[in-house]
Amino acid sequence: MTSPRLHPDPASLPTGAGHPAPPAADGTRLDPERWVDEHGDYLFHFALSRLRDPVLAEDFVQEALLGALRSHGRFEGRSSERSWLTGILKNKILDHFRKAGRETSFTDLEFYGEEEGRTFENQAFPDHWNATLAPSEWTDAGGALDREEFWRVFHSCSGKLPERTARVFILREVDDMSSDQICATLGISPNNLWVMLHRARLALRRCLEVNWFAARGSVEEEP
Amino acid sequence: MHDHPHYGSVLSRTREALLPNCREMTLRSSLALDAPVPVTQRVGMVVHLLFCGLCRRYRAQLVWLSRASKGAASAPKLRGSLPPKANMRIKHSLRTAAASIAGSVP
Repeated sequence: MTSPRLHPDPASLPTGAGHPAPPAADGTRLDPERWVDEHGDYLFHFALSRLRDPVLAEDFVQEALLGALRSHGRFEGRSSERSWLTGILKNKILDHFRKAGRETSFTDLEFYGEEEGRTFENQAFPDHWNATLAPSEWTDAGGALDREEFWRVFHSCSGKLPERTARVFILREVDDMSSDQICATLGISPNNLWVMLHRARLALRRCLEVNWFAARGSVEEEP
Repeated sequence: MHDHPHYGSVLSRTREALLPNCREMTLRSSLALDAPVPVTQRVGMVVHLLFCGLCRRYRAQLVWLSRASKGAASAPKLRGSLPPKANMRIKHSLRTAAASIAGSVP
């Protein structure tokens, strides 16, 4: 637990390392409503890309801003206001994942059974690529990253992953957390994590292939 | 010699590690992005990749996917912005909270 992002809630952290003395307690003008206008969209997008539920994302933005208001004394301007608020939001989301991790079950994994089974259906060589489901060549993969439509497909595909799987994928690939940190945060075993990541990649790769690389020019709204 | 249960299982485990099928290769290619892969398994991967173009392609695409995902958080806004209603509601709750904090400070 060396990383600060693993702290459950910045509001509960002691004033000290990294969270220095209050500048606002003396009545300096504090305008939290401005946060909503200036950072609301950014924070909402941040929450939505992780929680995948707009209503939940709104709630988390609200919670984060309320938390920020209560702990405003700990913001000293070393980082930008936006990254400070994002940090609080992120910790709230991680806290939510941590609690949810203990509650939800693994029914998610059923999602993969069918597709993964057929991917390696091969009469001549068992457990080798099935000719029709094998990875095809991707043209202009680099250029895709600059296209807004690509990201729409990407989000739509990742939105189809089961919740727990999507969560570990986002923590690992989008937030670049280490395997150890994710296991500690969610209370799962490394093997469990690796299998979930493998399945997320398998499904996401396939989804992007079908809905973007194979369907260039006629991108579907809902892959 | 195959009667020896331990010897037999070690042999089959080594064989499995050195001669992975494509299904196993997809798992290892993913694992390699998250943790160090044990030596025998790595040797098996290298050998398999030498002969299997599809697994080479799969592996390259996973690496690409991993890099691309890093950009997902900063990708262009895709699902709109904070809805106006939520904007109002959050401002209202902040105002209420700010007032109660101000009230509690002498």
